[in-house]
Amino acid sequence: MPMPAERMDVELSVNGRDYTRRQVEARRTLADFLREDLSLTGTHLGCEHGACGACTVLIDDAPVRSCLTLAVQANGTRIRTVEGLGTDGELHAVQKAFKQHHALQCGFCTPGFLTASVALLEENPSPTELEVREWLSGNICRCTGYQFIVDAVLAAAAELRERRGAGTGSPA
Amino acid sequence: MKPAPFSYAAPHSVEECLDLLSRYGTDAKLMAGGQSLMPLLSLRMARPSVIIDINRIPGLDAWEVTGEGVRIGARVRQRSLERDRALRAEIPLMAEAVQFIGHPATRSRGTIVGSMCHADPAAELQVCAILLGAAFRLRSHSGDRVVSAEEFFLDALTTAVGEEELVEEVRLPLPVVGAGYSFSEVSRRHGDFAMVSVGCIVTRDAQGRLDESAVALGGIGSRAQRFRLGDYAPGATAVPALFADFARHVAETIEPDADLHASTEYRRALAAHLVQQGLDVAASRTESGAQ
Ligand SMILES: Cc1cc2nc3c(=O)[nH]c(=O)nc-3n(C[C@@H](O)[C@H](O)[C@H](O)COP(=O)(O)OP(=O)(O)OC[C@H]3O[C@@H](n4cnc5c(N)ncnc54)[C@H](O)[C@@H]3O)c2cc1C
Ligand code: FES
Ligand code: FES
Repeated sequence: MPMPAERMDVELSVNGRDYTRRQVEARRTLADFLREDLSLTGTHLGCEHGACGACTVLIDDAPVRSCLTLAVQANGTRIRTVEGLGTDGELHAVQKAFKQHHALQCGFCTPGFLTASVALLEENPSPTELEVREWLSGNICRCTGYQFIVDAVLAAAAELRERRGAGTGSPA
Repeated sequence: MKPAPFSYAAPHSVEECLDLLSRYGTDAKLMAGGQSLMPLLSLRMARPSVIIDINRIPGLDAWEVTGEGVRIGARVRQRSLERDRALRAEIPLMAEAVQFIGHPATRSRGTIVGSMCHADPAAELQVCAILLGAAFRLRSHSGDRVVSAEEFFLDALTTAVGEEELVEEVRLPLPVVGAGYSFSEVSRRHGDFAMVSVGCIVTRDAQGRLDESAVALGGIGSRAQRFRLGDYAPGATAVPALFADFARHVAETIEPDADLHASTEYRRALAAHLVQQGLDVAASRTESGAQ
């Protein structure tokens, strides 16, 4: 029987970088671990009890609320945060579309919307407007009124389909 | 908004989990998806000294079909019910209900069994469990037992699960041959807890009688409630106003609480509307189609 402990070691990968034997308090949320221990402050905390979605990250490609997951539960997983969406100094297509479509104002909610949107497009490359709205229903934005966010996600989906089409030579 | 300190253990077998429960029972809390427990910990409405995380126990993440029905292990996520076509086909009612539970990011961790154990009176899956006649397999060092849904849900946020017990799986009967099912609800925003939710089954016996057709309602009090059509109109077959009359009867019988979001009268009105509409939809999905 494993003895309950207040601290333990975790090993996990965040945005492609491996972290080994990081000691964490058992009560530490994944959000606080990312922000305080790894200094990855791109993941935001709005409510800290599951209501707002600002803290959304991808664990093994699935979107989760990092304030409702313990760091110790992420042991052995592969995590992506908003910092890891772009590559080599280039923004992810969803990030570019957010910029182009004015899908952010204060930006507080944006990391959560970006990670959730990336998860959606990885699972469903051609979502309808309703599917985008339903998918993002768990994320709260106090500024934009959502319309530009929905526009941005649909535009990013079209852009990614086009790129994929161009890459394989098949019609988009 | 940080949980108070606690010790944490992630057992690697059901046996280990039961050892931990018997040693720490009163001070311990099981964690499945954490989507209801974590907010309670962060708000410090719950302060267990030990968290027993079941997410590393092999086997509990599986579901299987047996002669008696579908068995769903305690780690099967709500997302599986949304995405796994084979599982959806076995429990069409729950497959329709799952889209109303929170959001993709909560469903990817929240479990089916965890939702039932949390026993929120507005939870969609409690309505399904009550309508379908689910059973729960409970394990502990003092003995294993199987508890029916009627005995399982005692009150708001209260179940028959003892402090040293683990719910290993929920068992659901296979769909009734030829029957139609439907699930619908009204909430303030998509993904919020329902003000009223309704699950329906419409089924006819060889004589065309609708006796075993039934509805279950959530959000109307301390737990979901089931109403059998045969108790209201025994032997009824296809009567044009039957569903509307039954819906009115159900709405008059329930005693829904009023809260910030809906008054008692509004909940009654929602119940009448959702029951009638739900029965119509379920009837259109029966083998023989709409009447
Ligand atoms: C923003 C948001 C919106 C939501 N909306 C809805 C909604 O619309 N409808 C809805 O139904 N739910 C909703 N929920 C709650 C739902 O997401 C949870 O998944 C569910 O209520 C609990 O399941 P869980 O696996 O997360 O359990 P946990 O949170 O881990 O556990 C819940 C409780 O059950 C106990 N428990 C869990 N598993 C077992 C077991 N195997 N044996 C014994 N005890 C056990 C725990 O000890 C705890 O007391 C929402 C949550 C959030 C954060
Ligand atoms: S900070 Fe996690 S949902 Fe609000
Ligand atoms: S941009 Fe300000 S909250 Fe969304």
